Formats: sequence, structure tokens, C-alpha cells
Amino acid sequence: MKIHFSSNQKHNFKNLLAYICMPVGFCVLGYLLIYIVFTPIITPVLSVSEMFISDADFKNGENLTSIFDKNSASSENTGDTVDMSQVQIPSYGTHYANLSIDSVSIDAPLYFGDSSAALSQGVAQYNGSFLPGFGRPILISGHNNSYFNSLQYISVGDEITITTNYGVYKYKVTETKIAAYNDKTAYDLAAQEENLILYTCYPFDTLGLTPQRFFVYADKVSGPDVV
Amino acid sequence: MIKRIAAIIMSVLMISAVAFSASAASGINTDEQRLIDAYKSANANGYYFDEYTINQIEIYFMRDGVDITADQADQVIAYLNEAVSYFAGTGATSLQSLSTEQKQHLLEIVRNGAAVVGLTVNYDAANKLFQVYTADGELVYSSAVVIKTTGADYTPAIITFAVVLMIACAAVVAAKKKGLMQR
Repeated sequence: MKIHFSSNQKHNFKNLLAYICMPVGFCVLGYLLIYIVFTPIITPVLSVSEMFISDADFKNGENLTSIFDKNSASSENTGDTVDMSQVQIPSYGTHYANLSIDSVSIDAPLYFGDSSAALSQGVAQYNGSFLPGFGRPILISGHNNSYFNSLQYISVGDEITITTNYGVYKYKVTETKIAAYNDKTAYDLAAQEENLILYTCYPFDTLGLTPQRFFVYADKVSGPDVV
Repeated sequence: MIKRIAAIIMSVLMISAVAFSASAASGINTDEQRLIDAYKSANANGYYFDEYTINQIEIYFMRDGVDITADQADQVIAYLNEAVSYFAGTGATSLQSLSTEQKQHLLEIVRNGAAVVGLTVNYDAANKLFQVYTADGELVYSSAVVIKTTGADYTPAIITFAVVLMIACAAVVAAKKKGLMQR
């Protein structure tokens, strides 16, 4: 038994083919063609271009590890000091603490060493800055489209908590500022006092690379000094 | 530029003198402090250590198991002086102005110091980075910039979408020409 289609049905089918199937098919085939043929060429070009237009850290591809023990850090250290022998200095790429800011709903693992890998898994500390409790500056960064996205809503007076295996540290926000990424006056890592500096790319909704950073400065409020 | 390059080289020599282990903190002993003071005071003759370099060195000196001896401190200071003297003697104003042989010689001093305690010095020419690793591959020093890129770059995705859209439009045009689209 033959199935006959009306002219209207044939017309609709042709329109479906023309407006939906063929464009989708072309898109899929075209993308596959571009991917297969041009990826070996485009990838190194993009990598080279990043050297000139990006100030990103060298992606050394290190593996991330963790020494953070949530149970160990669950109770606040009420003492004023903690012996240095109780502190484990993390190696580069190690999750050693947790950073939280309740006022803006930030709760992120904190890594030592601000590689691309670490920034993709949490917030990351510049390895040329010190750990909480050591009385020296702490510089921490995070991506503006993930862990530090809500940093844009932080206010002076808000509290930042860094929970480590050896103590819980609290800092109070004193200032926020927008500065260029190469503005060295935006931070002072030679300071002989403990203060916390957070930063992320600015503006928060930018689609491409940006030369500006949003800085948050906070003074230490509580937490044991490492002696 | 010349100051920063010299600082990087000297900091590598500093780290080369100690063995590292990732364990509890132990503080900085007197010989380590002597070393820190030595390269802090090496700011004369136009060379200096910036705080980013000094901090990385201090942090690693704090590790338990990193206990430099007096003899090691003397050796590192000797390498430090040799590197500074050699660089100053070239009369160069930047690392780039050094000849290939001069660069090789300077790097040799650095690598010799690192080899004493089994450390590896890596210079990534593409990214212009000095990095020092332990025998286990642990990064102990990097000359990378302080402030990193912490934003998303959607440029590749936008380009890809634009290309796909163009292909879709081309498909529509082709379909019209083939007479597939009828009023």
C-alpha cells in the first residue's frame, strides 16, 4: 500500500529540511571539520598568543594534593599561640585550608601556590606570601566567574575566615580597591604585619582578558600566632 | 630589569644550598638567617632581592628538615658573590645584553649550586620563568608574576559560535539555491 503525501505535507517536509536539518547538519559537520583539521594548528597559536596578551602563570601541570583535615580544624584554637612544630608548611599545589566569607556566601578550598590548576579547584595563595599566624601578608586570588564571583558584593566590616589544621583565623575587611594588575602599590608583601589581601579580575562580567583587578584588604582580628 | 634578573639568579643560589622536605615548620636557624641577611645586604652595586623572592626563600627555610649548616651557608654566599661579581664584570645592563657564552656561564654557576643538594634549575624561555624543583619534582621557587589572571576568557567560545553561525547561514543560502525552500 503506497503512502501518498499531500503537497502541503511535502512542502512542510522541505521547509523542515531546509530550515532545521540542513543548518544543523552543516553546523555539526563544519565544527567537526574545523576541529579535526585546525586544532593542531590553532592550539599552539593560542598558546603563543597567551604569552603576549596574558599575564597568566606558567602552567606547569602540577598535581594538586591536600593536607587539610576538616575534623582537625573543627574546633577553634582559643589559645593565643601555636607551636611551629604543629604547623605543616604546604608544598606548592597543596590544599591546606578553607576560606569562607559568610556575608557573600563564599566557601572555598585554599591552595598554596596560585597555579591555573589550583585556581580551577578553589582559591589560591601566592607562594611568595605567608601562612596565617606568621605575622606577615597573605595574598589570595580566585576566579571572578567562580569562587570569587560574589566578592563584588563584599563590604567594609565583613569578616573573612581562614580555617587551617592548626587554627581558625578571622580578618575584617578594611578597604576595597580597583587597580591595574601591574600596580605594585596595590599590595605590600614586605610588610611586617599580618594582613589579608584578596583579588580577582575586574570587571566581574568581562568576556575577555582584563588588566584590572578588584582588591580586598582585611586586618587580622583573631587567631593563634605561630611561635 | 638587570636588578630583577640578578635577584632571580641569586635567589636560586640561595635555595640551592638546602634540602627540602614537605613537613612541619621548624623556623629559621642562625645560618639561614645569616644567608637571608647576606642577600638582603647584596643590594649594593645596583642589584637587589625583591620581597617576592625573599619571602619564597624564607617560607622554605621554615620547613622542618630544611636546616642549612654553617658550611652550606658559606658555600652559598661564595656562589652568590661569584655570580654577582661575574655579572657586574660583564658591564651588562640587562640579561638580554649578555652574550650567549656569558649567559651560559652565569647559568652554570646557578646550576652548580643547585646540584650540590640535588635541586634542578629550569628556565622556561617561552614564558621567561626561572623555576627551582626538588628531586621529587616539587616546585620550591618561581619567578612568575605576583598578580595572576583570574578571569574567564570567552573569546575562543565566541569565535567558535560565530563560525558555526556562519556555517548555518551558508547552509540556509545553499538550501534556497537548491530550491528546497518554497513559498
